[in-house]
Amino acid sequence: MDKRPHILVLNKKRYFQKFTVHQRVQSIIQIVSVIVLALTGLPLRYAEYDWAKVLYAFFGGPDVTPNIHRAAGTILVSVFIYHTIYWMIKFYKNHICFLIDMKTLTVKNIIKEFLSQAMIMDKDDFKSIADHFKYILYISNKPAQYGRIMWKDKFEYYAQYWGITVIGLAGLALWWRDEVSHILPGIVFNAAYIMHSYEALLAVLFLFFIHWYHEYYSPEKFPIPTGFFSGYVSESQMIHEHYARYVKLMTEAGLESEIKPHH
Amino acid sequence: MVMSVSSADELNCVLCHKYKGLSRIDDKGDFRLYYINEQLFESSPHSKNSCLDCHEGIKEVPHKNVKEVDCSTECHMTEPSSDTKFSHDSVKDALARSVHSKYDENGNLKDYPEDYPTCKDCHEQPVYRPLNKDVSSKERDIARCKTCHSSGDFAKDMYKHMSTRLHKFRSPKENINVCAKCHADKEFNRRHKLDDVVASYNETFHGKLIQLGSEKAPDCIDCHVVRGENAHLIEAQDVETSAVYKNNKARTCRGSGCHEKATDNIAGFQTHVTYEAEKYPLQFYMLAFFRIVLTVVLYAFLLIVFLELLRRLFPHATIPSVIKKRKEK
Ligand code: HEC
Ligand code: HEC
Ligand code: HEC
Ligand code: HEC
Ligand code: HEC
Ligand code: HEC
Repeated sequence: MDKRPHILVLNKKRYFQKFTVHQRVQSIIQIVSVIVLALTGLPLRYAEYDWAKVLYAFFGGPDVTPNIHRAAGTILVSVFIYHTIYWMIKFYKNHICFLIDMKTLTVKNIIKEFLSQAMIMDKDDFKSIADHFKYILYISNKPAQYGRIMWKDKFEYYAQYWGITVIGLAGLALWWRDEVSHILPGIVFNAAYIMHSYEALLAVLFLFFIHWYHEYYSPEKFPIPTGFFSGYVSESQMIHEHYARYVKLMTEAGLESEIKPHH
Repeated sequence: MVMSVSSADELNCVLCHKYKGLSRIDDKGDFRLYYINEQLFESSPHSKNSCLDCHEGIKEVPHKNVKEVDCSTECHMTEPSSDTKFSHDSVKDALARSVHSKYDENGNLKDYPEDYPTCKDCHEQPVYRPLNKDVSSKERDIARCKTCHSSGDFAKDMYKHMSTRLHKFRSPKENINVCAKCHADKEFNRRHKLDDVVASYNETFHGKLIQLGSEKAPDCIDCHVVRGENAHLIEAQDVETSAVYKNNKARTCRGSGCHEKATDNIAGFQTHVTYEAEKYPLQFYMLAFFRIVLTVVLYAFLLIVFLELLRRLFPHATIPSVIKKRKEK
């Protein structure tokens, strides 16, 4: 659906496509709602501090802020459900239908197809994790080489599924507490409170220190994270993070002679 | 303003007591301030009382036989609905039946009787807290009463009298501070074998919303007083008529328009969670689990980031290249 080129040349510099428009719209909605959730949720966790009172009042105080938080949460969860359904339809069309056509539709084959999906950890990922650790521990001199999606991205992707499930379910229970009391015992709200508050804290800290480090502050990206806004990343970043894919795209474009070495 | 104080005030108490310096160190070595802030007194529900209503027996200067003020004395006012002399007897009675009475059912003094609150422990000189903080709209409201009640300060006084009672007469935060004086005190809790209920309450969404300025979330009184009962009738959780007795809890949660649609299950929610393993095992283990996950994940990834930066900073110190250099030597 996205007709934009894999390699874009601007001012004699090459840029490589990392995300499609469709993916980027999803991530922008996601990022905005996560930031709103953090700004309207953290003050509740740290209610005893003055900054929390100011921030909470800024969003409209105790009568309004919870509704903003719930709205942002609803949007975030909806994007995730959409993303999951979208992926399931694609998986069905591209893989299950194929298996049906080939008359090889067995549970084993479905699992096999599933494991071959781009976001699933595979043998190469475990090898690159091992390579990466050897590299950063000064055991080897050769940096690990990555395809389009590196293992850290995959880990973060799984972490998001886990996080949104835990925080989302707990948040829903706390939101619809009166209705939930018709089916579950009240102690559930104590549990949901702990789940929501701690998992959200983990998510925020991870996002701020680890994820944004990889995306924004790390030396090869600072100060402008091109990938997020345009969907394209620079050649040096491509080499650094996705060398295997870099080589593949360059080869496909007939630019073998200009492939730069891994640094 | 000064007029109305002195009009109720035969010996003209304020004449002397308006001086800020009126104070001394008493026999126990405590600092005593005898200054009366007229403006505060004026904006208090007691502004219609004469000083002598409460400070009985002060007839001359220097004052002789000054008694401690007894809040349940009859004051020189009639309560219009019953046409009887007004006093706070009903409150005294409710307090005497509550867990806060220093006497047990048989009239014997409980242990540590000095720990039980009297009126003055919970009520400092109160001031009106008008419903409408916005002065100009307050004046518009009062002007509406003045259409009919045009003479004197009646309209203004009665407006304050009623409108302050259309919400909690002091903010929920202040109510909590009142209870916290005793119930957040470590020594007090140890003496009475109680948990720090204020800290645990502040941990709940209810407590947090109050800290962030909510007037709707429940404070201690909303949960510990049966709906419609006197605010002073707080009972222990094992008393059958208590608002937090196990069979009454759900009704309390559904009261005051809070969890109206909830079933009895809602009462299973625990307000005063201390995270002790024996008392609150679920909360204890869940907290431990999430804390461990949080620590492990964050530190593991921070370590990776740190190593990556280190690798970038000192690219040539790898084991293979060091070995190679050794060999070359
Ligand atoms: C002529 C000045 C004067 C007038 C009038 C006066 N007081 Fe006082 N009052 C004092 C002084 C001075 C003290 C401090 C006495 C002391 O140092 O023990 C005092 C102390 C007090 C105390 C504290 C006494 C204690 O030992 O705790 C009370 C209560 C009090 N006054 C109430 C009143 C009331 C009520 C009136 C009006 C009926 C009144 N006073 C009129 C001068 C005055
Ligand atoms: C509603 C009852 C009430 C009224 C009306 C009242 N007081 Fe008091 N006043 C108290 C209480 C209660 C205390 C706290 C000390 C106590 O318990 O004796 C107190 C304390 C004081 C003290 C300090 C006494 C001390 O020992 O520290 C002074 C002085 C005083 N009042 C003067 C006045 C004056 C003057 C007026 C009139 C303008 C007045 N009061 C009206 C109830 C009242
Ligand atoms: C344990 C603390 C405590 C004690 C002790 C206590 N009160 Fe109260 N009182 C409160 C609280 C809390 C409220 C407010 C209830 C509410 O917000 O609805 C209150 C409300 C009142 C009110 C209603 C105030 C208004 O303007 O609407 C009066 C009157 C009152 N108390 C008098 C007394 C008297 C008299 C005594 C002593 C016999 C006393 N109180 C003892 C805590 C206490
Ligand atoms: C339309 C005229 C009117 C307006 C406006 C009005 N009142 Fe009244 N009010 C009355 C009348 C008449 C009575 C006597 C009624 C009775 O006894 O049943 C009364 C009685 C009262 C009483 C009881 C007095 C007593 O001693 O029994 C109070 C208090 C009061 N009004 C306060 C207010 C306040 C506060 C407002 C404004 C919020 C207000 N009124 C607005 C006409 C009015
Ligand atoms: C002056 C100290 C003091 C203040 C202020 C005070 N309390 Fe208490 N409270 C006590 C004491 C003493 C007990 C009895 C403890 C015992 O049973 O040993 C008690 C018991 C209780 C209990 C019963 C606990 C049980 O065993 O189930 C409740 C509920 C309670 N208080 C609520 C409150 C609330 C709400 C406030 C604020 C409006 C408050 N208290 C203010 C001293 C205080
Ligand atoms: C949401 C309702 C709610 C609020 C708000 C609340 N409590 Fe409680 N409280 C309870 C219930 C229910 C219990 C009975 C024990 C239990 O189920 O945890 C209780 C128990 C207590 C006890 C007895 C604890 C023990 O160790 O035996 C005290 C004392 C107490 N509360 C004081 C307070 C004070 C003080 C506040 C305000 C800071 C407060 N409560 C706010 C619901 C509440």
